[in-house]
Order: sequence, then C-alpha cells, then structure tokens
Amino acid sequence: MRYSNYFFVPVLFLFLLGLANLSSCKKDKINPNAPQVDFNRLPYETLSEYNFFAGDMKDLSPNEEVVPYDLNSPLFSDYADKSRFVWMPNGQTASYTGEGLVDFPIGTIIIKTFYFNNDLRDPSLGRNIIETRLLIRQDTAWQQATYIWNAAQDEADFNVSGRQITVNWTHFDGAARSTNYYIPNKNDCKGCHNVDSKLLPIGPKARNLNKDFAYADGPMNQLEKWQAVGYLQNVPTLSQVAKLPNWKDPATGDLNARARAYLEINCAHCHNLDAPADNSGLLLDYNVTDMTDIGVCKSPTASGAGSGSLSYVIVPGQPDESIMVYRMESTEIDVAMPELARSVRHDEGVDLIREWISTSLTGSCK
Amino acid sequence: MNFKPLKASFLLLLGLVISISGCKKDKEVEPEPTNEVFQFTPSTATQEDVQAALIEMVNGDTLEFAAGTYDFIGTLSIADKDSIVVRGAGMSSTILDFTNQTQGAQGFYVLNSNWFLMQDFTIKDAVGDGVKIKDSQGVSVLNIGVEYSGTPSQDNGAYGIYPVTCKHLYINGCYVRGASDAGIYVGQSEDIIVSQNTVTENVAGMEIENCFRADVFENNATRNTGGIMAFDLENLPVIPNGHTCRIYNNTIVNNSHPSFAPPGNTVGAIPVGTGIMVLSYDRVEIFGNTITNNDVMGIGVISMTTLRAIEGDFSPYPADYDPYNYSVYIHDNDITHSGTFPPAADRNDSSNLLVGTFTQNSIFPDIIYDGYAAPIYGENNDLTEGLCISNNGGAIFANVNADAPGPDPNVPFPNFDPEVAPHVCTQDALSAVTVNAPGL
Repeated sequence: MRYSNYFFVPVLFLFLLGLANLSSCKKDKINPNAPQVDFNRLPYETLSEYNFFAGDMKDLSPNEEVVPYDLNSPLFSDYADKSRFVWMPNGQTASYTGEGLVDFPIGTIIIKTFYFNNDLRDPSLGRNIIETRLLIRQDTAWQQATYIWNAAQDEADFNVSGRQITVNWTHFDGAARSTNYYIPNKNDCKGCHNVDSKLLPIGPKARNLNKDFAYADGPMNQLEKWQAVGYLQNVPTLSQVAKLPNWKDPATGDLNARARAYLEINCAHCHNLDAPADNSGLLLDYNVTDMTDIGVCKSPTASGAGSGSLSYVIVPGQPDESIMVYRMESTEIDVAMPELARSVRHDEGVDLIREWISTSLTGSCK
Repeated sequence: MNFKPLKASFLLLLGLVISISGCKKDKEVEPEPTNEVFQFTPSTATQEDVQAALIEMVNGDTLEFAAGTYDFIGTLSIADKDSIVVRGAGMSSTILDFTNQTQGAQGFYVLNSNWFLMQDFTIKDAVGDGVKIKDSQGVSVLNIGVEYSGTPSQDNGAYGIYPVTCKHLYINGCYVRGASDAGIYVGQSEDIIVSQNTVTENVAGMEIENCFRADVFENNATRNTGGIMAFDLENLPVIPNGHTCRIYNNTIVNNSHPSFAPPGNTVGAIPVGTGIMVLSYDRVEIFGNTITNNDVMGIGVISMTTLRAIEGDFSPYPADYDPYNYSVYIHDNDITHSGTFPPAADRNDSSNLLVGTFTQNSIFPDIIYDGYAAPIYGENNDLTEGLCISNNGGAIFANVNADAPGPDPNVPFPNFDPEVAPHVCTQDALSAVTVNAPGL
C-alpha cells in the first residue's frame, strides 16, 4: 500500500510514545487531605475542587502539601489582607537562583486570597473573603485564574471579566470605611504580572521570602522551611541571601531602604525595563541606583493630568512638589498610581514616601 | 485517489492520543483560528459581557458593535491575541461612551496583540487616554473617533490615540478632539504611517515622539495649540533618540488655540500658535504642506536646550541623549500668515517670548530656528547639516540664536538673525516608510 512508508512509521512511534506516557502517568494514591489537580481540566469552575483547604473553606486552613507564606513587604490592595500558599505536585521542587524570583517547577500553584477584616484593629472580629487568585505554572508559561467568593463564604466561582464590589470595614482609627473594591479581569492581571509580555508572579522573590513565618509546628525561616519540605533546593547559607526590608519595620532597614522596598513591591512590577511602564523611563526596582531613573528631578512622561501641574517625579526635600506623592495620594482613576487595584489612599505608604523625600533625598532640580 | 485507509488510521491514532492525554500535563494547545464574530448591540452589551468576549476571543476572531450608543464604566482591554478585529458601524454611528467610567485609566487598552485592527467607532469622554496600544506589532486604527466633549480642559485625557513601544502602525481616517496633550501620539515606536486624520482643539494635534521611521501625510490639523510635532525627549529608555520622519502634504491651519496642557508636561512648552515644531529630532523632511494662520510660527526647529533654558534648567543631559536637531529639510511648503499673533490673554510663556522677540526686530518669520548646531557641523562650517531650507515661496526665516543669549533679560535673543543663506540647500529625499499592518 502506497501510504505505508510515511504513515505507519509515525503511527508506530506515536503508539510507543503513548505507551510510555501511559506507564508514567499512573495516578498516585488519592489523598483526600491534599490538593487534587488535573492540569488538563484547569481552571476548575469552583475553588473547592482543588481541595487546597481543610475543613471549612472560609477558615483558609491548608490541606497537606499546601504551604503558607508571607512577604517582607507586600503590595497594598485597598487595606485588604491576604493569605498566601504555595503547592507543587508530588516530587517537584523549585530552585533558588539568586535573590530574585524563585524558579518554580511546572505544576506549581500559588494561591492568594484577598479578604477584608471587619475591624482592622482586631482580626478576631471576623472577615469578608472577596477573591482567591491562582497563578498556575501549567507549562513553561504561567496562567492565572480568579475565583470570587459567595456570600455564604463556602465556595468561590471562576471569573474572567472582573467585578466591582462594595466592601466595608472599621479602620485603624475606628472610623467606618467603605470602598468599591475592584476584582481585576484576566487582562488586568497582565498589567502587573508582566515581564517581556509573559505572565509571572511578583511577590515570591527570594529576598522578599527571606523571613520567619509562624508555622503550626513553630517559627522558621520560609526559605529553610520550603527546603525542608522539599519545595526548594540550592538555598545558600541564609546570611548570604539578600533580604528585602519590611517597609513598616525600622528594625529591618533604614528609611531609604524601606522606601525603596515599598516602591519595589508596589510599583516596580510595571516600572521596570521589561514591563508595561518601560516607556515612562521611571524605574523602581529595589536595585536601581541611577537617581534620575528612580524619579529624582525627572520630568514626567506621558502622564497628562497625572503630573498634577508639577515638574518632576521627585523633588528632593519637597514631597508636595513631587509627582510621585501626588499620584500616590490621588484616587482619581486617571491620576492614581498604581493604576489598578487601588481605590483608597494608602496613608501609611504615603507617609513613608513623604518622609523619605523630605529627609533622605537632597539636592536641587535646576 | 483513495484516502480511506489514511482516514481510518488517523482516527485510531487520534483516539490513542486522546486516551493518553487525560493524565499528562499537556502543553496548552494554541487555539485554531475560528474566525468567530462576537456581535453586540447597545441593549446586549454590558461591561462584563463585552470584556468577557474580549478575553475569550481567540486569534482571528472579530468583535462587532452595532450602531448605537454604549455605556461603559471601565476600560475595555485586549491582551496577548493576534489577528483580532474590533469594529463598529461607523465613526458617527457607533459611540462607546465612557462618561460614567469608574475603573481603568483608558477607554480601550490593547496589550501585546499583533495584527490588530480597530475601526469605525468613536470613544467618547474616556477618563484618561482614548485608545492605548502597547507592545504590539502590525496595528491599524482606522476611522476611529476620540472625543472629549465640552470646552477643552486640562482634566481631559492626555492622548486620544496612543500607541507606544509598537512596531508597524497604520493610523488613518481618525478624528480626535480635546486631548490635553496630543490628539494622536506615537511614542517610542518603529515604522509608522499617520495619514488622512483630522485633529482639532487638542494641545498638540499629533506628535511623533522618539520614533524610528514615520510618515505623516494628508492630515488636517486645525485649531490646536500646535499642529504637528516631531519631538525627541530625554530619559526615554526604549528609544532614547528618534530619527527619520516625513511630514508632507498636510493641511495645518489656524493652530492658535490657548494651551490647556496640565503644567509640568513638555507639550505645555509648545508656543500657542504653532504649525509644525521639530524638537531635537534627526532626519526630518517637511514638504508639500499648507501651513497658514498659525499665529506665531509656521515651522519651528528647536533644541531641548532652549526649552530647558526657558525653565531655568541647565543640568547635564543623560549620556544616551542627543539634544541637537540634525538634517531637518524643509522644502516646497506654502507657509503664510504666521506672526499675526494670538490675543495676549491666549499666549503661553514660549509664545510671549517669540512675540516679544519678533516685535523688537520688526520681523515676523514663518520658519524659526533656535540656532543650536552640534559642534560637529561647525567643524565643516556647514550649518545646512542641522537645517536645510529651500523653495518655500515667500516664507520668512529667522534664527533667534538662542545659543548666544545676551545679558539683558528684556532682550532674550540679541543675536536674532533673519539671514537664511547659511541654510539654503537641497538634500536627498527620505525614503517612504514600509508598514505591514491590516488594511495596507
């Protein structure tokens, strides 16, 4: 038969490949107390299907293999609190590759849940869970999936197009506060989680993970814990790992270091040469050293009304003359920075940057 | 020919592949083009549904807005898709109204989407930029209107149509009114055609900024503060120095609108009453334009050094920035009725500076040069390397020699020089730009 030569050879090859695959993909014994993830069916319609959480879902208590973590300096999101977990498939391990983003293996899922405590002064007074965002390393590329929690707080449903919802809380000063919290749509995610047009996690850089965490079995450095449970390899001696300051804690760095840590986690995901605000020339990575690049005496680019009638991003010693402060203080949607996911002013962050510009930076712009 | 054995075996093979795919972590398969059309009418188009369609579309799909007015409360965005079309029923019949916008800083945002075509609708009253297009290649914006209604205001969005860090752009037949920076702004991009658009009552009608290879032709720029700009600004990391821009066969009239630029922005330095302004650009050819009733200068060729001096800024330039104009060639234009001067109340600082200088010298030029010539031109004593002028009818020239200021602040340009001879020359024409984008 005249097709045989070029047809059956590939069939045979693919058949053998199929057999090889069949033998290698025997399912592990199903553990009802650990996540169940079939990567061909993602994203699931509901959050519960992943089985990340034990008991009542709203308690956000992790199942086996699901490891909690937090960050030295987190992104501000309208006074929402966040719980963070990471999970990797059986046998997979991330690699430490320096102080930047951990190199996560295929199959990694980062689980971040946003909630508002009813009273910021006392978390025991209950909370309203809004959304859970997953970052899934499905192949070499990361995918995202957002789940919006229901009123009963016992399930969260997959959503792509985003939603605006009203949230209420009692603030640190006892005042009743409310805002229209925005759950970003799938494209919005790319506005921040974007390096060279590829989706990437922002938070879990080694320098930002390098801190102790209060685990159920006692406190431990997160990098060491991840290594101990098999989620991370090649971690050097901790004293050799850079540590991002906690912008709130003067014990972790001087004013300049803490301000730069705040700008890194809140701004540098866009204000970075490989990211969506590259055209602005304002570059806010923690390690940038050029003063013009970080905004000192830098004229605004393409900011329109965002300049607030001011001439420079930062004027040393003069926070009120600095566009950076003006845009951090604004809640006008064409002025406010960050552009997304901030509808209220972060007073404590503004105070930090004002103090930094007032006292750490010197010189004149002309 | 009998294909049956092939077909049957193929099904078997397919079955095998499907049976094994259930338990392996497959690479996500690139969706096949479906050429599906998502259709919306004003009554069916909620923000969430239209945004969901823009997310669920796959390469090759089209989204259509039927005629009518649509109310949106947030930015509509598209990302990471190729060969997508978004179209309306006509610039004046399909209106996307963002008056009630509470989310997002643009009307429409296109990110990392190649071979993208947007046509035949108007974006009205976006809170910020009308259309922003970032990191995309092969993009056409055709017959799109962007309108900020009411009296032009500094609270309007900065840019009507705003592609930045893109390649292969085609912007044709569009209309922009009321932008507080530039109606059509192309930044840090390569291979660009901006043609047959109308821009009116913006601060800058259109602006090519830090780009490589742009052709700007057959546009109508009227009643802006300044008509058409080719600007090179400092501290722009993607393209630190732009070059190669042809501005030809445009109609640039009555650009003397009071500036409503938010202070602090470079566009605020455009003198009220400007036809064309070239700022620190290299290889610019300006020809065949009708430039009339731009009340202060028909064409200005200015260095960033002059703008900085007006602001009192004498700090050093970044190492990667060249502030000199190089090879600006102005020929065969019809330039008339410059120097009639806007009312004093309508002028800004730069406009006043020129009005004062021209009045002191009793010369009212059409083509103005600030005289900043790179040291290298002086070596050859050939000032035409910076600016070359020929055959512009009766157009009057003046070099204000801003590089040689005097001690008297009331006479800022004492070395005002109307002699055009050092700049009269001809040059080879620049080549036409080749753009690969939908509709070309």
